[in-house]
Amino acid sequence: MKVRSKLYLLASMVFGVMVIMNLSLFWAYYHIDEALQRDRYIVGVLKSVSGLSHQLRSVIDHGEAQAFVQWQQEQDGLQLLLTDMPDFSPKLSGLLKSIEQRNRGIVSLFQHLESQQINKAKKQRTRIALHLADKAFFQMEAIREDGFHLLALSRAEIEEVILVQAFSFIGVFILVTLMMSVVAVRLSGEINRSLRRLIRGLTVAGKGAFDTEIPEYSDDEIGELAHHFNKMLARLKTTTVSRDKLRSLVDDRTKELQRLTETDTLTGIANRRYYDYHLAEHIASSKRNKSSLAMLMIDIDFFKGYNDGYGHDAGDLALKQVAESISKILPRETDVVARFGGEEFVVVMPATEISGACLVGERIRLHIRNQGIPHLYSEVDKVVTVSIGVAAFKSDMLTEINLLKQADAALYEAKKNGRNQCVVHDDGSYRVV
Amino acid sequence: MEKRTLLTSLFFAGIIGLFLVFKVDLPSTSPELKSVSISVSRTPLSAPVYVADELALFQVNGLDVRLTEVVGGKKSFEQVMSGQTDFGTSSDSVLMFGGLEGADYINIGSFVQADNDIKLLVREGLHVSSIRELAGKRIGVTKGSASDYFLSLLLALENMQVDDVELIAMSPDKMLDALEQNLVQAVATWEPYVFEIKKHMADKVDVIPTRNIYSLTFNLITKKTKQGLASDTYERFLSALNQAIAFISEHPKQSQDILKKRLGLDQDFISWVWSDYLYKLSLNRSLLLSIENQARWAIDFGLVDSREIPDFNEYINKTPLQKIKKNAVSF
Repeated sequence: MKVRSKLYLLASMVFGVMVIMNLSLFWAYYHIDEALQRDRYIVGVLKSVSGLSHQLRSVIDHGEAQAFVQWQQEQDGLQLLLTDMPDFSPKLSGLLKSIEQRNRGIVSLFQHLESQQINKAKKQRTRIALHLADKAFFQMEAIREDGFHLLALSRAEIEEVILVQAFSFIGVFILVTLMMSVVAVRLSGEINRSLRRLIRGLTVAGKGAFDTEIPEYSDDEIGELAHHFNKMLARLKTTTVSRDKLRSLVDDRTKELQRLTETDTLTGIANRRYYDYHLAEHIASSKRNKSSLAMLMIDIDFFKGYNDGYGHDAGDLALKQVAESISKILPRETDVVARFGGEEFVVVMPATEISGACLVGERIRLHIRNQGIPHLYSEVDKVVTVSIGVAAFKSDMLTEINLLKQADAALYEAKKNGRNQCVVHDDGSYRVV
Repeated sequence: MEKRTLLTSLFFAGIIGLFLVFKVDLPSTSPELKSVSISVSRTPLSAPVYVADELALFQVNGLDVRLTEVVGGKKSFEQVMSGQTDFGTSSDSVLMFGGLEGADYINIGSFVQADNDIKLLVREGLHVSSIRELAGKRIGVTKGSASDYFLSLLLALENMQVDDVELIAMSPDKMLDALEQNLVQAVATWEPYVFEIKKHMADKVDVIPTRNIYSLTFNLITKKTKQGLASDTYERFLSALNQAIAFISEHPKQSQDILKKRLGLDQDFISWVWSDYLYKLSLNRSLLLSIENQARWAIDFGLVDSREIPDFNEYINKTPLQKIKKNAVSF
């Protein structure tokens, strides 16, 4: 059932309850009014009987002619009342019939009283007349008794009617309210459960879990809402995957770009940019770890002559071969070789003492020489050779400036000493390795 | 507890609560039955007793009642006084005669009134157009009964004395034969004997119109010094009669059927007399006044030898009826 229909149902039930309550009230009013009408009728009869009794006393005690007339008028009034009775319960109508019967008796007695000349003075009346008079009085008394009994019963009936109406009203009210409560709680429970499922699903989806599917149990508006949310989540999921891919692509491209900007295109090793960017990191790491950092400055001997003599293409090839040779010799992955510029290379070796750096430097020199790349334009040898400057500092003395400066100074010494050698800056002096 | 189960439980608790609010009576276990007996006069006046017996209302009220049918309230009164039965049904006239004789009875409630139960039947051929023409005739009457008082009243209204006619004492069941055999020329008696005589003799007998002359009541009586009756027996009996009277007012057709069955009567009779009887339980001052009035009459017009009117208030016990139906007692 649609939510709207459920709400209409609830509203209809409230309206229905109001109608039932109003009908109950009208019904109660009708019955109570009927009972009150009967009560007023009985009071009218009693009043008439009281009037008759008074007139009878006047007739019997005083024998007044006027009293006869008035008595007859009262009697006519009572007869009229008794013939126009409203509907009474069998119990009450029995008492009214008794009043009627006794009244007929009085009328008959009165006729006999008249024939007995009741209008004579009391002491002149016959025994019969006196007895008939007595009889008339006790008949009147009997009528009055019936009348009061009737009134008491009528009042009791009114109380009963009121009580029944009141209890019926309360009973109907409680019953209908209970039924409505059950229906309202059931309907609201259904709506609430549907909304809760929706909220749970949206909460999970809000945290990025677009794989969530909100249950579509109800076929109402909330179920429709859940269905459309699921469609939206599916689209979001698709979009999120594309974004992630894009991000991944961008990341890859960024890394590629970074790699390209930090790589020497000719030799494929790191370039000066990489050396500048990452040296500070190596220095900081060495300080943190309290280890030394070594640097090798490597320069190809008489490379200008090589370029001039063999051409730039051969020169590029030689550079590549030298870079490859250096990379091959480096013992660890953490050791970095970068093309410093032109025919100059720098090697940074973390956690390396001076002796280790000298060893590596000498091996590099020897390996390059042993490559046997012809270099007829060299004044040192007939093959390509390199000069290497080695410097190493412990962490407490380490700065970017003094490391590079010392390595470069050592290279200069190597060049000055005749090239094709590895010179180390060691404790303020230079020596060949 | 699940919310649905809780609500359902509350709903049914509400229904049970309504049930208790309306105080639906659950049946209670019936008490042990007390055995009593009643002499009931065979007349439509005794309808509440017959209906109570037929519907087992006596048992409902804890009584095991043995009914003994008699002809007339005087016979019933005599059986109670002689101790043959515990209860009896008698007219106020019988109670008046009994009181004047100093009988040891107690009236615990009137249960019917009628203004046309007692009638005067006259043999056709007498050409009686008024009561005066009965002077010197033989008239059958049940002495010491309502018909005795009724006839006296009828005669007095025509300025006649009882001595102006010849009264022949007989019970109502003998009156038909007496009329047929011309042993009497008229009879004063009550239903259903009037109907039976009229039915049997048809045009040979006339019923003189006497409605409204005499309104009688029928009463439940017991012996004042009755031993062995439990204190609440009167209330139980009256309660059964009260329920029977309620049934009669609500189910007249069924009540008439019961009466026909018990008295062996037909629908013609019931249709003829039913509207004359008003069944109601009461004990009013007007009854006392009526009996006193009848007693003065009986003394003044020589129906009895007694000269003193007793205190008829002493022959009434209003306590049991007050417990059953307070509004029915007006002393």
